Amino acid sequence: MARKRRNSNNIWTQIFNQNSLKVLLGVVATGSFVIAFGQEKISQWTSLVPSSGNSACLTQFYRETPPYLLKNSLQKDSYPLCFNDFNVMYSGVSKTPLWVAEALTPARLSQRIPREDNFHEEPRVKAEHRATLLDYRGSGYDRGHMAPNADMTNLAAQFDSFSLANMVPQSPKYNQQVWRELEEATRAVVTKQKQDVYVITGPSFNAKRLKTIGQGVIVPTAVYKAVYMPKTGAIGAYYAPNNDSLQVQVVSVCYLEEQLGINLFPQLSEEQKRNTYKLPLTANAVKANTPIAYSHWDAESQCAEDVSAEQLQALQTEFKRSGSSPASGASIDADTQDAIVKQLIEALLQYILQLLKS
Amino acid sequence: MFKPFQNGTESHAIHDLTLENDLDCINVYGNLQISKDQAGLQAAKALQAFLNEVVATLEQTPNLPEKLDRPEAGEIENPFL
Repeated sequence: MARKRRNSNNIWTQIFNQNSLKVLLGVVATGSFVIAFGQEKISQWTSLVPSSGNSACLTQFYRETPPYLLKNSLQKDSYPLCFNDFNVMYSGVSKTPLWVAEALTPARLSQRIPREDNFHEEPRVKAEHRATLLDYRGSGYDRGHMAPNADMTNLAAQFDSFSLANMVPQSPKYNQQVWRELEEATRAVVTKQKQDVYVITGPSFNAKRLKTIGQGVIVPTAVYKAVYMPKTGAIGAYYAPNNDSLQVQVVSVCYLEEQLGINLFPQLSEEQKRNTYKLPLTANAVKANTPIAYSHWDAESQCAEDVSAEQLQALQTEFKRSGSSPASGASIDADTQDAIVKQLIEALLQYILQLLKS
Repeated sequence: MFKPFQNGTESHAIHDLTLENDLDCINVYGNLQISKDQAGLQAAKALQAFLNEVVATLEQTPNLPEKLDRPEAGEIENPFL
């Protein structure tokens, strides 16, 4: 009797010994997988719920302060639009954004989602001011993202980034080569050097006569990207003509402000904005342990004038009120929900299968 | 993957290679590393399937022009000056 018991004990021990490692590994791996994978999905989901207060909107700005339009011609028919992961000052005159603001952090860029979405028109803009898909069609110009899709952390933000309120007509070669590389370089500063970067991107309309496509979407003469890194104080701007020349200039924020008539960083002093650093042109140029080098002091450009605290507060209130894109909530339909759940289950199954095989 | 030249609003990606659909053109740009492994094979097949469909669609298009006729861009006085 005792012997038999020991035997059966042995069998169980044997089975347990043979498989315990696999089982244990499986459980641990599945658990951690579910947590990691699930969290990403959950964060994607939770951010789909429109936030009520929308002070979150202001976190995309350096010290919660939006860029300020200093010319009446720029302010005319303009729309402050709060999106998920970025904000836009849209102009019904040019039917493009005037500036698009994003705060890039290492945490934000640690999440990547595949690029799969649809360009769409912005319903919050009045029809007479709205850029349409038809405007861009056959124009020979790209629908060029200002806040790039690759900066987006969740499906709602990705959907938002494909709004035409985030687009300008960009020369294809330029959009697909130069601009893409600059966007990658900016992300590399965040991820390799582990520092926050405040980015303002937008078009420059710097000629007496301007080209238009479709029903009056104005083609910018150049596109800019101003960056500020609070940790190191590095600052400067990319300025690139919107043509096939593939040129990029690195200029001071003051130079850009003078061109644009916009105070890009109202919370920074003139001294800070005259500093110009050697901004990287490609991701490869960014090294983890080599800070971005100083280039020069711009003594010539006319920096944007100061904006009063009242004016800035009024603009902040407008952004808070504008709320996040209502369309983003609706962008998740039943099909997408199913697809997400299916994806999750498939990935989980594959993971378990792979574990069992090994 | 989207139907080439149909809706014209879709943007897809094979890793870092972006495929953008429009009615009059398709943009393919970015990088794609095709590694000598299963993942590489999958990426290569996705790209191949996509290009096959583009070619088939173009071949089946009646009266495909020699070169696309783009409308002249309009011109206005700069309203921001």
